Amino acid sequence: MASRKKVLLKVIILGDSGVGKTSLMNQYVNKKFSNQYKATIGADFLTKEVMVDDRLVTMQIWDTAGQERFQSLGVAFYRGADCCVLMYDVNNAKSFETLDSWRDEFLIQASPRDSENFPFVVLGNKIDLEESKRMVSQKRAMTWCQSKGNTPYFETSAKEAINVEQAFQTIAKNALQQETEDILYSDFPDPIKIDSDANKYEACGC
Amino acid sequence: MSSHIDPPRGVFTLPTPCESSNPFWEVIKLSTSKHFILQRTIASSSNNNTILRGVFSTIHNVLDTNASPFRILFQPEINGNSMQVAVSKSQKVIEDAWKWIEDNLDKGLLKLDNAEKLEFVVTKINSLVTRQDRGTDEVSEDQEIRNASRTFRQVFNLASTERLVSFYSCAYRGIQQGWMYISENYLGFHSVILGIETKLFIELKDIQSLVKEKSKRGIVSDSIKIITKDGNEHFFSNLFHRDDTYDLLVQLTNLSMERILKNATLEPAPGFIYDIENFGESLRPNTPLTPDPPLSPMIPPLRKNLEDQKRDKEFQILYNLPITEHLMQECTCEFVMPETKEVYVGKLQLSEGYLTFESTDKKPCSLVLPLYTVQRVERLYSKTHAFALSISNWHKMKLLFQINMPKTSIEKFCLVLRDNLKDQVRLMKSLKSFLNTCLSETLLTDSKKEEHSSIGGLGLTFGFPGDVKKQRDRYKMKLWTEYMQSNGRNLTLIKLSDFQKLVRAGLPNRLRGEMWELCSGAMYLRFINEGLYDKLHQDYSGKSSISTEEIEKDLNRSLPEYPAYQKPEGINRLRRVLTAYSWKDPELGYCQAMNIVVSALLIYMSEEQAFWILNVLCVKMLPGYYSTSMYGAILDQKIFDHYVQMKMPSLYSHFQSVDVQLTVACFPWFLSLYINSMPLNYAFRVLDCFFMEGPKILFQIGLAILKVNKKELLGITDDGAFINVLKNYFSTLDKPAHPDNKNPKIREITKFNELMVVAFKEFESITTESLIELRKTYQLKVVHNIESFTKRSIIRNLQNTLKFSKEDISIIYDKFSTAQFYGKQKNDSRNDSRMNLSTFYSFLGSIADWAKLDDDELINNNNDTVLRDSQGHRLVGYKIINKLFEYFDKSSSGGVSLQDVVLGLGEIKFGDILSRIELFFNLHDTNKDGYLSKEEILQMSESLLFIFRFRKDDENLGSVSNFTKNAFIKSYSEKPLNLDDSDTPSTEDDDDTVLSLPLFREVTLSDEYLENFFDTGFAATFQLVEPVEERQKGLGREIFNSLMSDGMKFASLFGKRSTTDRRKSHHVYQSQSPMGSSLDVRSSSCLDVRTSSSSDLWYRRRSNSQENPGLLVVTRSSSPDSFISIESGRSTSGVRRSLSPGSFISTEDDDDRFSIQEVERLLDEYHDESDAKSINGSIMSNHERDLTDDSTNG
Repeated sequence: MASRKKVLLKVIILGDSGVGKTSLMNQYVNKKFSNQYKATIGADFLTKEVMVDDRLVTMQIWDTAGQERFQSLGVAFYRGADCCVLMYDVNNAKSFETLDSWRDEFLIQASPRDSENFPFVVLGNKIDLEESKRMVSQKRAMTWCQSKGNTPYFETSAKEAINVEQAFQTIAKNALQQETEDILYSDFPDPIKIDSDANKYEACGC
Repeated sequence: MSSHIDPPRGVFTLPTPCESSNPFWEVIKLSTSKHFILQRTIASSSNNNTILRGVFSTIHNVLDTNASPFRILFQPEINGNSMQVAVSKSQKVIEDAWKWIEDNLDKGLLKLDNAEKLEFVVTKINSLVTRQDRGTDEVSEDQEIRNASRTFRQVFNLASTERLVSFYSCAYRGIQQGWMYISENYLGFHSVILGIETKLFIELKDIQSLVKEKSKRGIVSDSIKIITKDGNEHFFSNLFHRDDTYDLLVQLTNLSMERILKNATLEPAPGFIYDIENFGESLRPNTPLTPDPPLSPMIPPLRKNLEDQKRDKEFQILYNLPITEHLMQECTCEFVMPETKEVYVGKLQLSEGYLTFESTDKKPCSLVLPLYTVQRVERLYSKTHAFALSISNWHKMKLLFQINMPKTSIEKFCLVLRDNLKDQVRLMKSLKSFLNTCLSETLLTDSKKEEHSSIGGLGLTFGFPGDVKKQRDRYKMKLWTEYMQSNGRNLTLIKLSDFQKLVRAGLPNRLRGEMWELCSGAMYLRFINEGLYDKLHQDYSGKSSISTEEIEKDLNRSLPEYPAYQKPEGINRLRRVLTAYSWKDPELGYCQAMNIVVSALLIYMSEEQAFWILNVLCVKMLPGYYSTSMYGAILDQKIFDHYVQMKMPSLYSHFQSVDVQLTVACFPWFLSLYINSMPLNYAFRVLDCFFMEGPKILFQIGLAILKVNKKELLGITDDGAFINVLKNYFSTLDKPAHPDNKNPKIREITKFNELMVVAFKEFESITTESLIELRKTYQLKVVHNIESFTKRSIIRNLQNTLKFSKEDISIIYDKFSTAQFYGKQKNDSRNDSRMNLSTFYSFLGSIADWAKLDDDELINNNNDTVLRDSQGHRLVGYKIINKLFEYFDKSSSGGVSLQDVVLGLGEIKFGDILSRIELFFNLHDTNKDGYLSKEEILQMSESLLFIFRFRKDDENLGSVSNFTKNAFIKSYSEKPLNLDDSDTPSTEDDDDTVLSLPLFREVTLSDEYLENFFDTGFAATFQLVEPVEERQKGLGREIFNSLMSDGMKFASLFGKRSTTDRRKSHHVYQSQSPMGSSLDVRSSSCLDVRTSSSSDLWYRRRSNSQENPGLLVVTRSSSPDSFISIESGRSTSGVRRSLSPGSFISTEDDDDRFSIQEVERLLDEYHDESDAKSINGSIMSNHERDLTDDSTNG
C-alpha cells in the first residue's frame, strides 16, 4: 500500500441540467467562471493534480449531461469511478429531489464492488444567489445526506468560488480511499473488509 | 322451429372450395336436402384404434395446417364439388351451426333450382361471415390465410382479431416437423407427431435476437435461431423460404419494438402543457399515419399490407418524401433531359403527390417532381416506344419520359397520374408565394436582387463562420447558378452527378439553407404544411411544459460563441423553433443537443425552415435520437461499434483490452451532428453531405476520424486520453495534413480535406441500405435494455408503493405494460401512459382468474354494446370490473395509471375484512347515496357470482342466494331509517328500500363463506406471479386421448338430453375454455359428459314451484361448462334471471331484469318465508342432486 506510483482518480459529477456541473469543474480546475458554457452533451472531463495526504494524485473530473433522458447512457461514463459527486441547485427543489434517482441509477449502472460504502459527496450549488430564492434548506439537505450513510455535504458557489476547493479536497480524499481499497481488493483474492472513515466528514458550514 | 336464433359465432367460414372425399374426413350427418354434409376428421373419431388415429393425425398435421376436427360442407350439386362453410374444434359448436343451417338454409334449398342454390347459400354465408367477423382474417381475401389463421387462433387460443401474416412448414429443434405461424404479435409452432403435440408460443415483443443459421448438419442454410429476452433459444430448420421468413420476422419484431419504445416514454410526456384540462384536444396537431381502412367487407391479407408498408418506406427514404406518400404506380422508362437530350434509363414511380425518377444505369440521375409543380402533361406518339409522356413544370422545363409497357398498364398509369394531378391542383395556388422564400428563385430570375435578398438566416446579419474568402463562396455560387439554370431549381431540381460533387465541395453560405432543406425533404413538408409553424405559436402562446422549461435553461448554452446568440434576436428565434417542436411532438419534447443543432441551422435559414428540418431529423433521418429513451442514439452507437470492429479490428481490440468505450467520445458526434466537436465551418461541410446522403455520413466521418488518428489511438490507455487525442485533432483540422511534403499542392491539403477523402473512399461500403438493415437487427438488442431502464425509472418515480415488495411492484409493472402493449395497437398514435377500460380488462385478467374474459368478449365490449360471449349470449356480472376501474381511477380521468393500479390493488390486498366489505359496498352504491338499492343488491349478487364462477365448491351458490335474500330482508327494516335520514328525498327509485353499510356488513358477516371471502379470499384472487411458460405436452397425451374418446361416446349419448333440457328452460350455456388450450378440443366436446356423469359435479337445485313458491333458487354446475339461474318459481311468466359463469346468459335480452313490481312481489314472499323454509329448500336440492348423480351412475 505504500507504493508511490501515480494514482489516477476518476470522479463523476451528476445532477440535473443547469445546476452548474460544468461551471464548478471549471472553477476548480481553471479558476475561472464563465456564462458561455455550452450544455454538456454526453460527457467531458478536466484533470487536475492534487496533493492528498502528502500524495500527488491526478484527478480526472467527469462532467455529464444532466437531462433526465441522458441517464440511460450512464453505463459507459460511470465505469471505474472512484467517487460520485451529486450536485443540485439550492434554488431549485426539483434538482434536489432527483438526487435519489441519480444516486440509484449510478449504483445500478456503475455497479461498484461495495455499493453500500461507495463514496458520494453532495454539493448544493449556487449559494451566491440571494437567500430569498433558496428552495432547499441546509437542514433538509443534511438530513438526506445523513440518511444515505452520512454522505459529506457542501454548499458551494461555482461563480464566487465558495467552498469549491474544500469540497474537492474531500472528494479527492474519499476517491483515494476507494481507489486504495480497490487496489487492496485486487491484491487479495478474498475480499477484506476495511473500516472506512470516509464517512466521518462533517458538513462544512458556510 | 326457431329461425330467429342468432347463428353461432366463430364457426362459419367464407364458402371455400375443398375436396369432399378425403381419407382424413368421415361423414357424420347429411342434411335433409343432401346439400350439406357434417364431417369430422378420422383422427378425432372414436371408431379407430389409438395407433391408427395417431398416424392419421400425424400425416394430417404434416400435410395441412387445419386443426379443426369438425366441418360442414356444402355441395351445390349432390355428389358434386364441395365448399367448406363451417369448421369448429367443438362438436357442440358445429352442431349448433348444423342446426342453424338446417333451420335457415337447408329447408329453403328445396324450393330452389340448382343454379339458385349456390348463389343462395354463398350469399347467405358470406353476409353472415362478413358481418360477424369484420376486419379479421375470416374475411381475408386469401383463402389459405383464412384457414391457417383459424387453426392458429384455435391452437393457441387467440382472439379472432389476431391476424396471421404467414405460415411455414418447418422443423423445431431439428426433429419435430410442424407449422410455424407468424401473426402480428406472436410466433407459434405447432406439430402433432404420433399423438405427441408440440406447441411453442413466443411473443414477438420478447424476441431479442434473430439469427440466420445453417441446419444442424451444417449443409443447408435453412434455419433460424430465435433468442427471447428470458434467454431461451429456439431453433427452427427445414424452412424452404428461410430468407423470406427471416425478413418477415425482422419486420414484425421491429414493429413490436417500435411499440415498446413508444410505451417506454416517461410520464408525463415532457412536451405536454401543464394545464391540459383547459386545453382542447383538437388543437393537438395530428399527423395522419395511415389512410382509413377500406370499408369493403373482404380484406387483403396482412402480409400484403406489410409488404406495401415496407415498399412505401423504402420509397419514402429513397426520395425523402413525407410519410404520407404511398407508392402507387411504377414502371421502367427512359428519361430525356430537357436541354442536353441526354437519356437516362431508370425507374419512374408515382405516389399521391410526387412523380419520381431514379436512374438504374451507371449515370446518376434522380428527380422528384411534386405534382403541384406540374403545369402540363402531354401524351406523345413515339416511334421507338409504346408511349411517351412530356411533362412541363413550373420552371418551364419539358421532361420527357419514354415508356415501354403493355397498353393496359399504360392506361392504368395515366389514369392514376391524372387523378393524383387533380388532387394536387389545390396546392398550386400557394406555389408562387412559397417560391418567394427560396433564394434560388431570386438568384435565377433577378440575380441583382440576390445580393440584397433577405432570404436566409442569422448569417445575413451576423456573418457566416469560417473564412468566406477561403471558402470561395462567390465562385461556388456561380457554379450553382449554372447548374440550376439547366437542371431546375428548388422543387424541380434534377440531381445529376455534378450535384453530388458540388455539395461535397461545400455549399455556398447563401444557398446552404435551401439546399439542406431540399435534400432532406423538409422543403416538401414546409410546402404542404403551410402556416402550421405560425399556428403552433398562436395555439400554444403563453403555455409552458417541462420541455419549455428545459429549453429556457439551454438557450444561452447552445452556441454562445456565435454573436447572434449573445443577443435577444438569435435567442428568440432559437426559443421559438425549439418550443414549436416540443408542442408538435410532446412525447419527445426537447432533448439537449437539439438546441445545438437548431442554433446551427438558424445561421443559414428561417425559423420555419429550421423547424421542418428538425422534423425530418427527429422522425426520419435520426429516429429515436432525441426521444426520451434516446434509443436511436444508443442504437447507432452499437452500430458504430459494429462498424469499427469490422473495419478496424486492431483498433477495436486495443480499445477492448484497455477497456475504453467508443461511446464516451463518439456519442456527442452523432447526437449533435459534429457541430459540437468540430470547428463550425467544418461541421457545416459535414452537414452538407449529411443532408444530401443521409445518416450514413455520420458513420463514414466517424470511422474516418478514427482511421486517421489510428496510430495515436493505439497508444491510449484510458477514456481521458482517448478524448484528448480527438479534441486535439479537431482543433487542428485546418492545418495541413502533410506539412512536410515537398509538393506544395499536397501541402495545401488540410486535415479536413484528408478526412473527407478517407470517409468517402475507404468507407464507401457503408450505405444507407446496410445501415437500415443493421438498425433493424440491433434494435432488438437495444430495446430490452431501454425497457428495463424505463421500468426502473418509472418504478422509482412512483409516489407510493404501499407495502408491496419490489418484486410485486415489478410484476405489476410488467403486467401493466404488457396490457398496454397489446391494448395500444388498436388505439390511435396518442401515447397515453394510462390504461383505458378495455386495457384494464386484460390487465385485471392477467392477475385475477375471475377477471379473465375471452378476447372475443372484450372485443364486443369495445363497441360499447352489451358484453356477449362468443355465441352471442349476454354476459352478466362482469360489470364489477368496470366498477373497479372507476374505483382505481381516483381522479376520474377515464384512465388508470400505474400509480392508480398500485394504490388500488394495495388497498384490496393490504386492507382488512371491514375495508374490503366497505369497498364492495361502495363499488355497488352507484349513486353514492350511502345505501344499496334493490337493484344494487342484485348487482352485488351478480358480481359475487361472477367472481365465484370458476369455484368448484358448492357453498358459494348458497351463500350468494342467502346473501341476496337476507339483504332484501334487512333492507326492509332499513326503510324508515332512510326516510328519516335523508334531507333530500330519494328520487332515484320508486321504491325506497335500501341497505346501509352497517347492515350490509351484518349480512355478509353472518355468512361464513362470504366472511371468508372478504377476510382473505378476495385479496387472494389477485395473484402477482410471473406467468409460467407453456411447455411441451408429453406422452401422457396418448393415454389421455383414448380416455377422451370414451368420454365422447358418453357425450353423444347424453348430449341430446341435456341440450333439450336446457332449451326447455330457455337458458342456454355456451362453453368456455378456461383450461389449457391444447385440451380445448376435448374439453368442450365432452361438455355433456361432465354435466351428466357422476365423476363430475352437476348440481341442480330445482325449486319445486308447487311447494315453495317464490323461493329464490340458484342452479349451477360447479364446472364452468354450465349455467346458473336464479328463478322465481311461482308464475310461469315470472322472472328469469339467468346467471352463469363465463356467461350469465339468457336467450332474450328483455327478460333479464326484475321489474319493480316483480321484485316487490318477490320481496313480499321473502318476508313470508321463514328461514327454516329456505334451509329446507337447500336440503331438498341437495337431495335432488344425489338423485341426479345416482341416476347417471345407474
